[in-house]
Amino acid sequence: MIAAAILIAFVDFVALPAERTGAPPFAVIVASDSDTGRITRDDAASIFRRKQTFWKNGLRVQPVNLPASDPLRQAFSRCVLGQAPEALEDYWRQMYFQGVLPPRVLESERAVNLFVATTPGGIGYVSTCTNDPRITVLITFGDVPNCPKRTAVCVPLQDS
Amino acid sequence: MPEEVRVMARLCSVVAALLLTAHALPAFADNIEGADTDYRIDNGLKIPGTDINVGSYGTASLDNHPDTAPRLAVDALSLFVWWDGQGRWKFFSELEYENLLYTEAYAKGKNGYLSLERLYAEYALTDTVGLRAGKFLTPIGRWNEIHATPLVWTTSRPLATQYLFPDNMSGVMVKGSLPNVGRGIDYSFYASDGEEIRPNPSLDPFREAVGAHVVVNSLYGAQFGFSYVSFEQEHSKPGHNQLLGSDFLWTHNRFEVMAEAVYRRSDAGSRNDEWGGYVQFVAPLSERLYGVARYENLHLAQQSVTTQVRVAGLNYKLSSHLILKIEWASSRNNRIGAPDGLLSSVSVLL
Repeated sequence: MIAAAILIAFVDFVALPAERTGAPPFAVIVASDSDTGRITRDDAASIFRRKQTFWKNGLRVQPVNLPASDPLRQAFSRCVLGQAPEALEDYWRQMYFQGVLPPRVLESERAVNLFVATTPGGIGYVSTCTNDPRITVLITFGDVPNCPKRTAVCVPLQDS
Repeated sequence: MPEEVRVMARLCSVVAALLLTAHALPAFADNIEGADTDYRIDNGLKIPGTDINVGSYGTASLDNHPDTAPRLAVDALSLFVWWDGQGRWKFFSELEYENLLYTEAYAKGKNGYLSLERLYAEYALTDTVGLRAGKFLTPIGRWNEIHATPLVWTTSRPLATQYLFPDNMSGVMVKGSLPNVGRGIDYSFYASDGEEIRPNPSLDPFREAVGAHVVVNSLYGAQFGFSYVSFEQEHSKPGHNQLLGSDFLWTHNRFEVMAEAVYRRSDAGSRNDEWGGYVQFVAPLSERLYGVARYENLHLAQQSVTTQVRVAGLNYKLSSHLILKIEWASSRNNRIGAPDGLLSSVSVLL
């Protein structure tokens, strides 16, 4: 165990964060009146792992996902969480055993936009921004059409 | 009809029902809002119109120990119910029916028992600080808090997670996550005055306990955990004890290494000290099949030898909620009835 700790610490020291390339760009969005403040990529990861469940103003976070097979969900999961949705299955089964459920799944980006615009504390991700004034972009990964640039880089991938 | 045949028939019907239910579930596996059912795989059943969720798991096992007849059993059927009103309060409970059905004399004396595994209320002050009060799984190491059979790789459980501390405790806990400290830290501090809620007669609960468990996340999915607890138990082991533990988990590309080490020091003399641990390796063999190997040891008080167990097995994930396991356990200096021989099980998470 000590040897493993030394090995991991060494890898941790020499590794450089690398931006993933080739994934479709996307934007993380919230409701404009949510008063959520700015968030980082790591905050988004905590939210979608259900580790962060409250916004800074005390409102409960309501994250929504696209279906696991959706290319945008795949890109989001790999870029923000560092793992493909399938690789998180064990994580979510363990969380389920603790009474923590994964984010709700909506079937389309249109549904995500509607949910975020109308749900206090809602947060999701889309591949194209709309002109809906009820929605604010928090972070973008890559050049997302119609979106203001709030660019962040992907987390190093843990599982392929 | 002989009793054995009747029990066997009942067992087979229970196992068949579990398998059929689990096999039918993928039809609902789309997991998409708006589906015409409130049941979702790995999400349990949400009671319509409420914030109550119901989940469960069950295990049927077939063991073939060298010195006893084969044993087919439904070991446990667990039901967990929780309420989460999307605010700061949460309530959680888990009931488990142990030794539900079995075929053979091996299990005689282990009568069926409805065990209260967990019953607690939680209040989230913030995401970084939460309070819990009630009965909960003892946060020592990793295995004990995820011990549900569908969540672990083997049918058998490492000895060090069974013999060196009670599975659950009643008391209070401060817990939380610090995601922005390094790569993230999860912690829990807890205390018990020994007033166990519905104590399980087959277990030796804490008389008093104060402890902590901290897990530090590192790069590439590695997690390092550290446990400490100062405690006394009600019955079997004398004196005051201090337990130090460490645990490790690393997952990458479906490979996994998990280890725990526990040392329990007794103020009743060094002959009452106990220790144990295990290291377990998991490797994917195909999309759903995994190979598992584990080495473990355990040294109990007043014993001159250390029990060693080697486990090698396969874990087949028929789906995320139906898992088949088969393993061979081989022991040395086994004076405590550690699992030995061929063990297999089917586990269902609903």
